[in-house]
Amino acid sequence: MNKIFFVCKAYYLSFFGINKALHSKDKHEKIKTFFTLLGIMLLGLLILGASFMYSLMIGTAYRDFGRPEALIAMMMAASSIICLATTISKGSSVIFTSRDYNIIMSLPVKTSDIIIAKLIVLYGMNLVFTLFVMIPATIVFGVFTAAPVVYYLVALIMMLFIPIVPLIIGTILSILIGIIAGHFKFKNIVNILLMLIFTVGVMFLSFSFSFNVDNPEQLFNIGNTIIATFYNIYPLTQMYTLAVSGVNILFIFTFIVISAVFGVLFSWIVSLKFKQIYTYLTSTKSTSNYKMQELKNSRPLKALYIREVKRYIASPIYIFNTAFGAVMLLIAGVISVVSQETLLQAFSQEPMLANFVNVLIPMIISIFVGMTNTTDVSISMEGKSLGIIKSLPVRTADIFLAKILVNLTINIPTVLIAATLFSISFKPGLFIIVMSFLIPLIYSFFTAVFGIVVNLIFPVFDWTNEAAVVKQSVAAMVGILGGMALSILPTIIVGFLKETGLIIVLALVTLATILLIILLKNWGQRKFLKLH
Amino acid sequence: MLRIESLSKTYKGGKRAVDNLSLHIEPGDIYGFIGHNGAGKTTTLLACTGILDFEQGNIYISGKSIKDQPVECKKEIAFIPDNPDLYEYLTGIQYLNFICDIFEVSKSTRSERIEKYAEVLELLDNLGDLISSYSHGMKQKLALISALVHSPKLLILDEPFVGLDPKSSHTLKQMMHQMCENGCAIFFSTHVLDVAEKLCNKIAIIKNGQLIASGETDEVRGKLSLEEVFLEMTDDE
Repeated sequence: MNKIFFVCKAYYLSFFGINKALHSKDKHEKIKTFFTLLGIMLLGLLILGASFMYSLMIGTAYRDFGRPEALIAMMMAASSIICLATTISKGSSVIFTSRDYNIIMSLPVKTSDIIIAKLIVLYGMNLVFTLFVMIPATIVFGVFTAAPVVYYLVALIMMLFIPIVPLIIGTILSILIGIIAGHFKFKNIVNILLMLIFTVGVMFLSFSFSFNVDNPEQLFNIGNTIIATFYNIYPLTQMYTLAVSGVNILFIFTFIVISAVFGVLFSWIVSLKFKQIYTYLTSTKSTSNYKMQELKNSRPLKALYIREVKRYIASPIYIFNTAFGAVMLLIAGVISVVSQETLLQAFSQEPMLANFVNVLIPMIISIFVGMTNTTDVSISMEGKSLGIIKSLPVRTADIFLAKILVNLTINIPTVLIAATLFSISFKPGLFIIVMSFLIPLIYSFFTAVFGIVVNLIFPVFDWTNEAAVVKQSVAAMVGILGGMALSILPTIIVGFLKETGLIIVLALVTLATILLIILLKNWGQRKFLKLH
Repeated sequence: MLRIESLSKTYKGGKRAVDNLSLHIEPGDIYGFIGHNGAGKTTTLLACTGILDFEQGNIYISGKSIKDQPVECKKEIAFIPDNPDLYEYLTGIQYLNFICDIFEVSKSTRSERIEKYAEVLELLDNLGDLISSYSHGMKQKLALISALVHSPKLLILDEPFVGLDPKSSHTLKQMMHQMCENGCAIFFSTHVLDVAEKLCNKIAIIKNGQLIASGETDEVRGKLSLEEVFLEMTDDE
């Protein structure tokens, strides 16, 4: 047990550079980490507040229809879906393909203990999501039903067990994806496609249970459907809801035992095959029969760009995490064209609504562009090879440019396709059509340059698995959330000022992009030289 | 070829890794750089290659300052780090081609040189494989080929013999001699004092960031062995 604790401690200390800051003699490093942690905490409070408002809104509707426990069922299912979806992309990366495999496996620690420790690390990440969703829901339900103190105690203990089963199912799917993809020549592409299919599948499943808060009657009916469906496809939802809302000892006991047995059984089975799975997931084919062929040559900038593209496509988790917004945008564009008739019919009845939606098209595309940021971790992804690129006779500006070009390679075609599709489906008028291309294109540049700046402020090179950079690093969080915030806030401006707002946003984003480029040319290049 | 003038480097937190170090390496030199772990060897080498920024002093390569003209300086250097963390997502040949693109080696020359060095180091058959499948020694060999393929005027190596098999180690020493005969300068760190003694015409010893001896190998060691001199000089009082 002690050894599990020690292994976990070693992993957790690496989070957000906590250990580095604790032991660093550099004051700036400590101050930076302090403010980063403070920022994360404030963001957490903000999300918790939003989650509370959401629970309150939905809980009120359910209470009015005499089904307050539907809130618990719904949120339990939602947090399970979040755990499942996020684990599919990072499960095998955290457990099996970490760079610390040789060190950790050489220690006198049982393999099952290592698995448990790694599962606890994954569990910790997922528990945060779960608590964000479940704490507000639990309080809202408790207040609405005037629940006794024992309800809160039971709920608090029970919610700690929620992530276990989805986490294990997600990890199993993650391993299966790795194994299936291993059979193909282009295993990374197959890996990404499978991750996308599973995750989009899970999301569509949850979206199909979406509801209209403005229509309480519809909410009630859909609420019943949601409960019934989740009870059927994920029986633990029913068990959890009945255990917590009714403080049912039998269900409490059964839920905890099932989760614990699932966890222990999974750790035991995986520990038996850990080495084989690791070898399978990490081994690369080597033919050792190379014959010298004619080599293609490129200019240095093109060579840097090609290297960046190869680095990008070599990492399924990197692609999955950064291109998801682009994929969702394209799916939304196609759906809008497919349901064009319904849209236009609805708009002809509500011209005000049509004007409002049309003016937001450029901003909605821009929000997805803000989510598609490859540059915010692109410097960190150099990892221990950073020295190579720094020792080469290339301008730092070209290194940045190559990274920016990768981001543009994804965002520019996506914007062009999505803007065309939305222009066809919504028929918004020439001005909005032009803006639907122009603003997101400027945002593509802004997002890419912003990502480099963020990564220069929050670099991390001593990572042991790619998920630590792509999903858990401060740069990734600031890059994605910052990018989204910097497109959502202008969207509010456009919501109020309509067409004039679009012109203001275009001017502001262009100016911000120019300022960031100037910043990169001066401070950015100096900062890059200091990285090591 | 390489002139280090009063180089000082202090890391964040106040640790002075290199303190007022000056050194001059001329074409044809094989300059060995020795010192205890943490003495400042790697910091000095990294500063010379432009990887690490420094506050005081300057470093000149063929008369150009690494601070003011980093790209021009780097065109003349090849650097091999102690731990070859190469781009594991590329195949060996892709990596070498990338390096050739960056150093603008012509199409015909690159094929010829890659084939020559890969054959000598017995890595040709593996060039089509991903670097992630390479052993430490194979990565070291690949790093070596990537360093030689653009014919640098200055070769900087950090512990180059670690991980190499005896035959490759022997080949590397021969190559180093050959390069120096052609006017190249080599500056490398090592803990293998026997190798330094036999291979280098000049030696520098660093202790706690300060240069405590430098010059012709014969002058530095006098009548003693290099190992005896090194231990005597670096032993704490």
